[in-house]
Amino acid sequence: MRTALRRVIQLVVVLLCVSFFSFALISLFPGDPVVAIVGFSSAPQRAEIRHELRLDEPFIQQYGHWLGNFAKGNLGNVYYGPTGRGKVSTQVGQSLPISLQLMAYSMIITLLIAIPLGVFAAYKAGSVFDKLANATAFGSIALPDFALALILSYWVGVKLRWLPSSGYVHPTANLVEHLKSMTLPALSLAVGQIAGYMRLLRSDMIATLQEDYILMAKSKGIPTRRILWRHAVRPSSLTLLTVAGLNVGALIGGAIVVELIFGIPGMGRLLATAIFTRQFVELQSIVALIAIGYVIVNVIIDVLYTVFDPRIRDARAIA
Amino acid sequence: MSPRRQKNGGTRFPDAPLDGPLLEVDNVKTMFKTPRGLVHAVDGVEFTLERGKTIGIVGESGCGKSVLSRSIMGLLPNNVVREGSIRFEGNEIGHAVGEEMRHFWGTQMSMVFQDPMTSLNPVMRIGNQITESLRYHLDVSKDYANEAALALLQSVGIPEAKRRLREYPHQLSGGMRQRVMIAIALACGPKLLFADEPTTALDVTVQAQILDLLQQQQRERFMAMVLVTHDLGVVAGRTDDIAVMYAGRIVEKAPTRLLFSETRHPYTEALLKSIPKLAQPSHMRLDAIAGRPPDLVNPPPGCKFAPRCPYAQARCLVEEPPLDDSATPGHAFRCFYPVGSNEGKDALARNLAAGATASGRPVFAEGDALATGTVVV
Ligand SMILES: Nc1ncnc2c1ncn2[C@@H]1O[C@H](COP(=O)(O)OP(=O)(O)OP(=O)(O)O)[C@@H](O)[C@H]1O
Ligand SMILES: [Mg+2]
Repeated sequence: MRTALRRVIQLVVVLLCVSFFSFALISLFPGDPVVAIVGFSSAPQRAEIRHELRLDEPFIQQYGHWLGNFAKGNLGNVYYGPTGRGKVSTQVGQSLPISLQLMAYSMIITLLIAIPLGVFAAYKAGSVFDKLANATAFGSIALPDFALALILSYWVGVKLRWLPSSGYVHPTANLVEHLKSMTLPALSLAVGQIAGYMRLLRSDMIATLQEDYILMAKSKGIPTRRILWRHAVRPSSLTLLTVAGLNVGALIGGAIVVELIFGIPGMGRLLATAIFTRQFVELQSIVALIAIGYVIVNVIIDVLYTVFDPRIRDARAIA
Repeated sequence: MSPRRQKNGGTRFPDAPLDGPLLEVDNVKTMFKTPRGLVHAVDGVEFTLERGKTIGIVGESGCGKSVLSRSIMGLLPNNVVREGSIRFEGNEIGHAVGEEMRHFWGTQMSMVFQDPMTSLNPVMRIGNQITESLRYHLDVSKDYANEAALALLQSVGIPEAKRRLREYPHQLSGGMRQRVMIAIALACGPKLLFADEPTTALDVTVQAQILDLLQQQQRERFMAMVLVTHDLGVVAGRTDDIAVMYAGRIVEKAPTRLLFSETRHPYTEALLKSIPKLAQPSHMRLDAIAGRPPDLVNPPPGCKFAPRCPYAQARCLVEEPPLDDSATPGHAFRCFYPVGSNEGKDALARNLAAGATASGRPVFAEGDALATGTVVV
């Protein structure tokens, strides 16, 4: 229980730091942020917005105010010219689920392909299959996801017309069309990751297969399939888990580009629009949200460690 | 549903005859392909094991004890060449490969490994590690398997067995883990149990307990056992026969009492002198015998022990003695100048007079011992 409490405190501190830096980073924009946001406007309009954003207050107070609102779910406004206002939280509410879907799908594709490939490559280490898988892996790592996205969008989407090359369908509207619209984007994101995960799992798995307890399992006469999946995969997947957590950053970055290419109205597109239209309030909120998401994913990974390896659980309890 | 019906065990061969030896090993050779060349880890081993009997395999580290047990079980890596004949209940299994052997593993023969710290899966509950072979081989229900696992844990002397079933290996002491390993190995009622140095990794205080447990289970189940150890003290009084191994071959084989009372091979004699005293940690290497075992890639011609043997004569360096039966039934050894024989006495006397053996190793009688030479007591 005490460790749980300590973890929560740690988490709060990390989240505070993360939010502070995302706030500060964008506040340090050169030039007058109000001009950046609204462009042409009269002096009184600018003064009003400046007051609304508390730009006339000291920096720390600005941050405190922003943080208070952020915690309450008020993510600030998007400004359409001097008078138009939209709520960032509404936009995020629409875009975030779409991005999460995209990332989840690509993660599922990645793991569904990478794990069996990695396990089999390790089991057949040194075989033709292993070498072929390795060579393909190198190739796919070298191919950036935006390039793959463009190729897939053009060939599969435009030329062959197998799958939509752009657009997004809501799952409640039409589930089949939804899955179709997400296939190419998720695939573009996944391909670059598959190779990395496969090779990670392969090398850990090769080490695990040398362990005494694998020979022991073999001597029980249980099928090879069971030895690989029940005995070897779990102890071999801790590195994979760590890297998957750290990789969420790359996944978010990739998602931004892929969303733009496939015209998917997710956080990537929201972020890009915010950058191009200099909506710095919106930027602050989105960057903070992404950073927090990253931290939370890694906390979940930490918990998963203890599920995967009971020894870690007990080591923690003692510490 | 009868819980004893076997789904996967023992289906490959027609019903085995119930007479005749359980295991016949004949001229088994196991070689590892390595960058240095072929490592002759086991080089022409033969022995027979009757049902319900025990044989001890004894020898220094690296002499091929583990490789021999694994060769018989067919539990070898891929870079290996195995030759010779292994008959289990009269059926030839010497050439069976992985998949064919799997039906024997667990149900017909199983193994207790040396190091209980590394041989149990750290991320699986004890209970699951016991029940999985039960469920796979005997096709029993989950509940039945759990009951059986509980009974097994109790029979190997684990207190609070019910709770232990749900624990992970790291929550148990070394001795407890070895008991769990024994329970796993016994789960499907094998006819032959290999115990590969089952106590070497354990505290001196629990070693005897584990050996007693093995012996008790072996008797209760009328199971044959191959007990591998580097310590003659461990097998003394616990096995029916003993085979002493050196450089991949058996150099002396005898009923246990006979081996101690009528030792014939100089290597056995040397091993006897090096039985660890009670106070010594048992994992200590047997470096009481001066010199090192030969290179298994290019073994020397002649008797493999000759370079370290105080009895060695010129003949020993060029000609390998065969494993011949002695006058006593069941006793065989490989030596031209056996311990206790007139030839042996003469050979030793000649070497002592010359101050060196035929291989050039200095020998001294007790009293003027040098640190490096072979000392004859
Ligand atoms: N996979 C392998 N590849 C190459 N050589 C091997 C391999 N496994 C064992 N050997 C060699 O075979 C020989 C016999 O090894 P083995 O493990 O049977 O010895 P042992 O008698 O069991 O010794 P210990 O008491 O240390 O367990 C050793 O010289 C070892 O180097
Ligand atoms: Mg060994």
